[in-house]
Amino acid sequence: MEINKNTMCIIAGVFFFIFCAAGTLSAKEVAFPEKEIRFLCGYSPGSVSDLNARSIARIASKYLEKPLVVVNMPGAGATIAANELVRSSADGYTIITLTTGYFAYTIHQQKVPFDPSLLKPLLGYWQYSHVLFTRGDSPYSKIQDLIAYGQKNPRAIKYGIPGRGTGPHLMGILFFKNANVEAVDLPFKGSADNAHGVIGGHATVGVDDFAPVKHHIKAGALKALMAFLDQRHKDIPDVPTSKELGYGDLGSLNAYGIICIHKDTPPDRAKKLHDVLKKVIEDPEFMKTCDEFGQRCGYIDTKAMDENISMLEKTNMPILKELKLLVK
Amino acid sequence: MEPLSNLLTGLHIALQPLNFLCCFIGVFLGTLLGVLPGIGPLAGIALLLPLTYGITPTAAIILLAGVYYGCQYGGSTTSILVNVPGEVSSIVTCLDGHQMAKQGRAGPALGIAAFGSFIAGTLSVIGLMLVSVPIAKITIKFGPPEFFSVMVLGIVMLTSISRGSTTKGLVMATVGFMLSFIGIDLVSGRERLTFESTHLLSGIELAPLTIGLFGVSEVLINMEESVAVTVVQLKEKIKGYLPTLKDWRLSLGPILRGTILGFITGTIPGGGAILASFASYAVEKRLSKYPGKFGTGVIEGVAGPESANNSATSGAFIPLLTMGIPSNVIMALLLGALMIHGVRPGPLFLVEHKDIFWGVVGSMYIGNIMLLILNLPLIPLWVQLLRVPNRFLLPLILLLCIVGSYSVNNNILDVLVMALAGLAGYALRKLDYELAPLCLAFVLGPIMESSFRQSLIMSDGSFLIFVTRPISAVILSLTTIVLVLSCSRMKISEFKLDS
Repeated sequence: MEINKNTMCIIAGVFFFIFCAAGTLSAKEVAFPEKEIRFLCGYSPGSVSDLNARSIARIASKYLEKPLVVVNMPGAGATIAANELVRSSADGYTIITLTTGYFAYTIHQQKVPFDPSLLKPLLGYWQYSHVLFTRGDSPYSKIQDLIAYGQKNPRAIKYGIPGRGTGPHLMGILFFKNANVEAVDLPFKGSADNAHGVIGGHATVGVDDFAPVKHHIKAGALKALMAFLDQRHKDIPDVPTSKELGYGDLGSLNAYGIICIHKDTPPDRAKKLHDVLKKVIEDPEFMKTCDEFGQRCGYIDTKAMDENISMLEKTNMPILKELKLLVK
Repeated sequence: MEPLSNLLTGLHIALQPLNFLCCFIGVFLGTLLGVLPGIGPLAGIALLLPLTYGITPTAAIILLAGVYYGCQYGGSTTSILVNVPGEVSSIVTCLDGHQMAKQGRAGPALGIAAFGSFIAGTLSVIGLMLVSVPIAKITIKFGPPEFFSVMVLGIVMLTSISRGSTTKGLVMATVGFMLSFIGIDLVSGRERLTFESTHLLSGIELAPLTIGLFGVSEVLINMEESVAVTVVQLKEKIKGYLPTLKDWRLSLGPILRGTILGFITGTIPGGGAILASFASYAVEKRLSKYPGKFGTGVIEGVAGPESANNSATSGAFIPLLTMGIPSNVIMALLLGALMIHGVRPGPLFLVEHKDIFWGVVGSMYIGNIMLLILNLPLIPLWVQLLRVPNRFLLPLILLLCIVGSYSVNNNILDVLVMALAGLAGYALRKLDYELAPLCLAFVLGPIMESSFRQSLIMSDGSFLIFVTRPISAVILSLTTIVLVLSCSRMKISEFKLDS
C-alpha cells in the first residue's frame, strides 16, 4: 500500500505527540528542582547562621541537580527574610535558615507582619553550644572563682552579650540567677564586637556560642570558664559543663539551627527537600566543616525541634517579660 | 630585614598564575562595583564567595580583598563626574570633586584620586607589613569609652565640614542623629521610632539614604534645566586629563596625611573608610591657607579623602589578620571565607599561615599597581561621559540608584527610602542646607550613643570613666584643643571684621 505524504505527516505528528506526552509524564517525577532554589538567610553575611547555611549550600551541589543559592536578607532578627518566605509562592523553590530561638523568643519581641504558623520547620542541622568565657590573662582561672567574686561584689561582673534578647543573653541571665550572682549585662553589636570587648578586658566575661570564639580560645586571647552543655565539648575538653557544676537544665537550652519551608509546599517536594538535606547533613564533608567551625552538627527531626521550641519558650517568656522586651 | 624577605616570598606567591589572575579579577570587579552607586564590596564579596570554594585559600582571599580595596578606587568616579557617591566613603569627594568637574577639571580630579589612592594603598600596605602587631595591641585597648571619645572628636570635626552656615550644618547633624535612632536600640533592646513597621526595626540603611540624598536629588536638580543640556556646564573646554605639577604640589601633603589618618581610622573596629574620608577632609580644611575655598573645587579636598579611604581598607585588615577580629561587616565576611577554607585568623595566623598573610600583602602591592593601570587610561573615557546629554545620562543615573538601593539587602522598601531621601535631599539643597553633616551624624550617632551607654554600664554610672582611662583622656584632650582653636579662630576673624 502506498503511503502518501499526508499520511506520513499525520503518523509523524502522532508519534511526536506521544513522545512529548511520555516526556512530560516522566519529567513530572524528576522535574523538581528545575531551577535553582533560593536559600534565604535572615542574618548578615559572615555570621554563624550564614556560614552554616553556606556549608549546606556548597555540599548540596553533590546531591541536588540544581544549585542552592544563599540569599542574605538581614534585618529585624531574621523577620524580613521570614516574611519574604511567607510571601513567596509555596512551590518549594524557597527555603530559609532560622533557629528554634526565632520561634521561641524572637517573634515574641516584635510585631511580626505575617502568621508564624505559615513557617514549617523541615529539619534541624546544627545546635548552639553556649560558653562563658573571659580574657586569656584574666585572674579567674575557674568558674568557681568568678562566682565567689560575683557573690561578694554584686553588680561588679559585667558580662558581654552579642545583643539583648538573644540566646546568649537569656542564658547569661539564667546562669547568674541560679548562681546567686547579681551581674550586669553589657550588650555589644554582634559576636565579633562581643569577643573584642572581652579580649580587651572591657567586659569581665562574655557569653556566646562557641563557634565565633573558638579561634580566640585556641589562640589564648580568650579562655572558656564554662560550657552550657550536658557533655564536654570535644574542642575544649578541659572546660567543665553546666551539668557537672550543678546547673543541670541549662545545657538543654541551646537552640537548634533549622531549615524551614512554606507550610503549603506540596508534600512530595517537601519530602524531596527533606531527604536531600538530610543526606547533606550526614555527608562527612559537611561534618568536617562544622568541626572546623567548632559547631555541633547533625540531623534533628521535627519532634526534637518542637520540644526545643516549647522548652525555650517556657523558660524564656517570663524573663523577656521581666526585661520588658515582650511584645506578645 | 625579616619583613623584606617575607615580602619577597609574598610577592613570589602573589605572582603565581592563579593568584595573579584572582588579583586581577578581584580589582577589576571591585572597581566596577565601586563605580556603581550603592552596590558595594559587600554585595560583590557575598556573590563571589561560593565561587571561591574550589580554589586555594590564598587565591580566595586575594580575590575578595581585591574587590574590597578596588571598590575604593572606583567610588570616586561618579562622585566627581555626576555628584553621586559611588561608595559611602566617597561622599566627601562629591563636595570638591564635582565642582572641579564643572570647571572642566574632571580629568585632574580623577587623576589625583587615582594617584592618591595608589600612593595611599601602597604606603598603607607597607604599614600593614611593618606595624600590624603593635597596632593590633593598641586596638584591643579600644573599648566603649575610647570609641565614644573618637566619635566626639568626629562630631567636632563635622562642624568644620560645613561650607556655609554652621547653624545649618548643626541642624543637619541633628536630623542625621534623629534618623539614626530609628530601630532597635542596642543597649535596651527596645524599638524606637519604628511605628510598628518591620522594615524600620533594623533602622534606615545608610546606602539607600545617601544614594537618595545625593544621587536622586542631583537628578531632580538637573531636571530643572532643559534636558538638552549636558550635566556639566562646561564654561571652558575640558582642561587636560591629568593633574598638573601645581596640582601635585598642592596634593602631596593631603595624600600623605590622608594615608596616615585613614590607616589609623581603619584599624578602629567600627571606624572604616567613611570616617577616614570625612576626617581627612576636615583636617585638610583646617590646615589649609584658604579654608573658605573648600567646596568650590579645591584639589586638596579630593586628594586627601580619596587617599584616606584607600589606606583605611588596609588598616581594616589589621584586626582581622592579627587577631581574627573583623572591624566591619566586610571583614566579617572575609573571616567567614577564610574559615570555610579551614584557615582561622588570629594571633597564630602570622605563624601558622605565614604564606597566606604575606601572599595577601604581596598581592595588595600588585593589586594597587593593576588598579592604577586600569584606572588611568579610563579617565579620558570617563570625562567624555560628561558630554552625554542629560536626557540620556539622568535616567541612567536614576536606574543605577534604584538598582544600587535594592541590592543592599534585596529589599524593595530600601528603594522607597531612597525615593523619599531623594525628595528630601532636593528640598534641602534648594534651601541651601548641606547634606554631608547629615550623613556623618547618621553614621557616628549610633556608635556614639551605644558606646556612651556601654561605658556607663561599665562604670556603674560614673562619667569619670571617660577621663580616667588613658586613651580616652588623650582623645578628649585633643578634641578640646581642636574645639578651642576653632573657636578662637572664629573669634579672631570676627574681631578683624569688626575693627
